[in-house]
Amino acid sequence: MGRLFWKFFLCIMLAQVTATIGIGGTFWLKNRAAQQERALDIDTSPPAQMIIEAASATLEAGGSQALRQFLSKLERMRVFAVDAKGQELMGRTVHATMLAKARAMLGQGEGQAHPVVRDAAGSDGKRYLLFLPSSERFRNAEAGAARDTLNAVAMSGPRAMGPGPQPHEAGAPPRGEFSRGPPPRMDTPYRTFIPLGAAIAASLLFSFLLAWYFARPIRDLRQAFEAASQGNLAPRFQANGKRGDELTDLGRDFDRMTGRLRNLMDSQTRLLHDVSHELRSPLARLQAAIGLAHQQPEKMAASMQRIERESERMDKLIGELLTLSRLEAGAGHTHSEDVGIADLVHDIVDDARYEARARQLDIALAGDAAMADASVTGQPELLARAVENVVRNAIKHSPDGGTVEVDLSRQTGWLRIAVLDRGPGVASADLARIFEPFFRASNTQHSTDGHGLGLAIAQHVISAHGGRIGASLRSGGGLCVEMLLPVKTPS
Amino acid sequence: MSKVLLIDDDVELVGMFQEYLTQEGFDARAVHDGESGAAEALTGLYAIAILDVMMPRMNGLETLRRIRAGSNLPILMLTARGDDTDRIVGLELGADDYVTKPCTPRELTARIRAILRRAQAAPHDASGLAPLTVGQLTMWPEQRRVSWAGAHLELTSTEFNLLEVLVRHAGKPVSKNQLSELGLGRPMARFDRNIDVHLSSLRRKLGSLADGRSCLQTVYRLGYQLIKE
Repeated sequence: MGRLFWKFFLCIMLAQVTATIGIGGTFWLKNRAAQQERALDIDTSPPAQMIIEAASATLEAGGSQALRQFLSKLERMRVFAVDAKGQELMGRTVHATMLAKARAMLGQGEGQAHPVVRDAAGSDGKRYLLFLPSSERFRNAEAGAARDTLNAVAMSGPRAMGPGPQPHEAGAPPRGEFSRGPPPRMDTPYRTFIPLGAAIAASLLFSFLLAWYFARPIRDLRQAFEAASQGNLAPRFQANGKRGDELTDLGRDFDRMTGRLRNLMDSQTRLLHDVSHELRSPLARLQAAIGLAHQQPEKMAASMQRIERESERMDKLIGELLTLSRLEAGAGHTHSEDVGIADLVHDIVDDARYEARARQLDIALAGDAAMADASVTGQPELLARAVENVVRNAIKHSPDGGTVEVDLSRQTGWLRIAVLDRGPGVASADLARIFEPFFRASNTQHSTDGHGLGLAIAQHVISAHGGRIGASLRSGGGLCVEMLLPVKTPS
Repeated sequence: MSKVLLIDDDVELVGMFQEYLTQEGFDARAVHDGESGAAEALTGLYAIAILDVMMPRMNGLETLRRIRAGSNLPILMLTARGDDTDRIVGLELGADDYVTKPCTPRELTARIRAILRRAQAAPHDASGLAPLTVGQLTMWPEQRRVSWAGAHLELTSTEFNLLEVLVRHAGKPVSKNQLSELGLGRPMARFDRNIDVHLSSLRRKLGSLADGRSCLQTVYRLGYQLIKE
């Protein structure tokens, strides 16, 4: 349970509580307004008619004094008795609106069998307006109210007939009243707290679940980041794809990122391993040559030549590595110019021909005349190096006395340079891998020239110029390396 | 004149080693891949083979396995510095010793001499013809023969030399340094796991004592001890 969990938890909790209070409050206010509205109403229900009947009978029989006594005995549904001056018999305040309403209803109610508002005159000659406000009735349950009425009628009945109080019967309500009546009032607070408590418990539970649902994937992500910072880049979000939301996508993106990082790191490690291995071979030869020089001082000159050759090889290897790492870092295109590919290829082939002559190798160049005007935008040294590396690779793998073909041709928007040899080729599974640094086909002898960086450099150069490089096997044996460069449209 | 077989794919390097060794009085011959190297080693004409572990096509370790399957010819491995797995696997496969790759020819020659000296030492030893016996183990150093409970044991020459040292000191611990000096003919290098690897393969080949323990015990901080019952 991190801090995020508690933040989520509190936020959701707060939102739920606010919503509950808001909705509850609105209902409560509305209810209260309705009640107030009703409080000013005149009760028209049958119990009200009954009690009004009883009250007016009491008044008519016993005068205002008897009515006062009758009213004071009532617990609920105490009928209002208002005189002409607007004074209530029991001294209660009467709302002006209610009084006006009662007067209005009195007018309408003439001729009804059981009017709810009556203008009755007492035996003592005082006239009272009798009515029952709704608030009185709603003060308690209907059943209780009805019983109350009956009690009042039963109690006031004998009183009206004959003088002499009967306190025993009238003073206290029948014993059974409490047991039969509505549940005691002291229960009510608990009853309000039960739904309230349930609501709070439910909102707690839901806030907890929601907060957990949100916080958990984030915690997982955090753990993943921690693991990654400690070098553990294993995929970890593949299993929980069932949520299918943005957090799952985030996890998947994280996995993709670590996967990419893992590949990069692996290739770097492999490169470092290969570099140290490649540097070791010339070093071993250097040491052997030095040993020979010690052993046979008379052959010092030959040993020195060997030492020189080995140190040059190491220098060349390091130079190529630097080129490769610069190309990989994306340096380049600092000064682009139009490069006439036909001329460039021509020069390279001329140079290579000179060296290939020692092995009776021929290099056949085709299509350069047709391409004389085709140019590519880029860096001439790098492009020359790429083409040269591919040509030299072909020469290296060609049998003595063979022919290396260099073909220039044009495809829509592309300039194609194909270099074909009749060497041993590579296994078809390795066709893409020959452009990896230090890749050596398993069927090539460990020769001392070349380090397996030439084609890797060529690939980086070509792709930096927006081109493509690929290798395929020739029918009849040998390898075809094809370079495609975007040709500059003559403006 | 000892015949030395060089198996390495670096033609130029092997050429120079060959020249150096010839000057040192060896009859050196070179092959450039594992397959022909293994075939050549199994002819039985050679006193020692020097094998590069890092070779394309048939890997050096595979070559080593193939040679060991048919011969106890002493083998000196050339390994890359820092590549411990190759080294330990090579020793486990029965190579006698190793030299890390950028090495001086002098170092290589010294190693070859040490191994050959050990392998050929026995006949003129003044210890007599009586076999050495410790428990079930019987050893005839003159004939380079070992048996456990009457059964013949196949040991590489390095294993044999180390076992001989332990037998001669039976019942007493022998330090790793002493084992290296007497058994391998060179002082122990730092972090050298050579002795441990050889002794663990020896332990596998030898039988165990009556109580089920191995007869070769590691003595903490002191080295190894052959238990004398």
